[in-house]
Amino acid sequence: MKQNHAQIDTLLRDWSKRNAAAPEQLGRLQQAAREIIAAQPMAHKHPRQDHQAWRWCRYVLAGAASLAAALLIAINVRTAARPDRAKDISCSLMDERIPSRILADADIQSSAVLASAMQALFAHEWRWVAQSGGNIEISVAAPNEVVRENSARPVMVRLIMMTRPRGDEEWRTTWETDVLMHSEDFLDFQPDPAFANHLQLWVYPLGDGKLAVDTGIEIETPIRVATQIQNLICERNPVEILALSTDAADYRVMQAVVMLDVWEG
Amino acid sequence: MPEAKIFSRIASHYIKTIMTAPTDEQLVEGFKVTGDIRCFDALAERYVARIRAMIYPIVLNHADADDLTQETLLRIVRFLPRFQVKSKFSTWLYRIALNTTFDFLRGNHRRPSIALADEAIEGLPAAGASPFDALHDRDRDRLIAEAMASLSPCLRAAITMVAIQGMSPGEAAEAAGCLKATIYRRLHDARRRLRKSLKQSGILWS
Repeated sequence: MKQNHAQIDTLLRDWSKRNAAAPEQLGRLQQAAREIIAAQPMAHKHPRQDHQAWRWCRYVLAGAASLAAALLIAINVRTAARPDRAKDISCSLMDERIPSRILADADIQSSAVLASAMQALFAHEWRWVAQSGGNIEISVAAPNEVVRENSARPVMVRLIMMTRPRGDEEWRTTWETDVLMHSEDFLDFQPDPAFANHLQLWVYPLGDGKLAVDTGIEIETPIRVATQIQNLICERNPVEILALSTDAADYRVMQAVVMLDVWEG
Repeated sequence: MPEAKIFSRIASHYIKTIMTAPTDEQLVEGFKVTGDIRCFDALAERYVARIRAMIYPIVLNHADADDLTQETLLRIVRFLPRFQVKSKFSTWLYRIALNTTFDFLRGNHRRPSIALADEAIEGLPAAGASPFDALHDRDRDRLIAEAMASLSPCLRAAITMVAIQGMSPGEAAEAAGCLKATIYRRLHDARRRLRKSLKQSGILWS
């Protein structure tokens, strides 16, 4: 059996070598990518190439200043936060009257059950489930659609909009929506229009409970507003993705994300 | 001014480190801090062939593999700020290549077998190979590609990472974002299916 494995692996390696791109072709690919990168100041927000030494110094200075600022914030947060919430950076920076947890264990558990049920019913064909205000929307692949095996862990994203009239202290939840999806999938859909017109989500687990989350949301009620944000967050910890104040009220949109454990039946 | 001296030292350190002994992590850090495109060039130079060699066996189409390699390079630059030195750069990079490839396959509902006929015609004999050898290689390549096309993309990815790229199952699991056990299962499945197909087509005898 092992010999067979070795034979297959050797065949595949030789086949791959014969199908490798020529160095000139690889050079062209690299050059094309380089030109695109050089042409755009890039989404990664980095400065362009510049050979002048003072530029290097300026970037290093900026880096050092950011590092110093980050250290100061970290020290403040560490002294302010309880020891068991040392990672709770996003929470400690928010208004204290906004709940520091918007995802209860029971919510996570019921979402894990739902994700397991979706997995059992639709295998790799389910895409997302959105629950808002008692309505549930489910997206699955069309019957004739080719689907790939999706091994990415399901993830639950909760979005909450909170408002308070100007002058009031208490925040009130205006709407709440939960989305179950596969991590690493890019979601672009229209949830219940009573809450949001358009929602884009992408969650990428980075390990150690850290998640990269891209969110785009267009809200119609109670105020018309849209935002796109990229966050690096800790699992379960709520982050503020939108803060807005008008003469009449303050608005906050919070988000919390958790990776779900599902069982396969 | 002492501060200016310190910062100038840091800058020279960056430049010196990048010029003399650039590890992946130093190049990444250099690009993150300074945005110097030469750091990207060095990384791309180092990995472009491996990225393409990773993508081709999954999409089984040369033109798509080229496009996806380029897209992967662009995504790497886009996502570099999120890279944490804790993980190995090459594994992180393979993960991006895999995601780019799967996004493409899902978005296009692309069936690799469609491209196989054209791909077989496109292939040119290697320099110095006799016409008989070239024909033999081409036939064998077509049959191997057909056997690969019969696997699901996840199985193709697993066998590509471990058998072709020589990654350990642990590294492959990290790149694919799944458990090591899943990679073992996929490898077993992929090899079993490939063995059957390749035996049927006469490439494997024993």
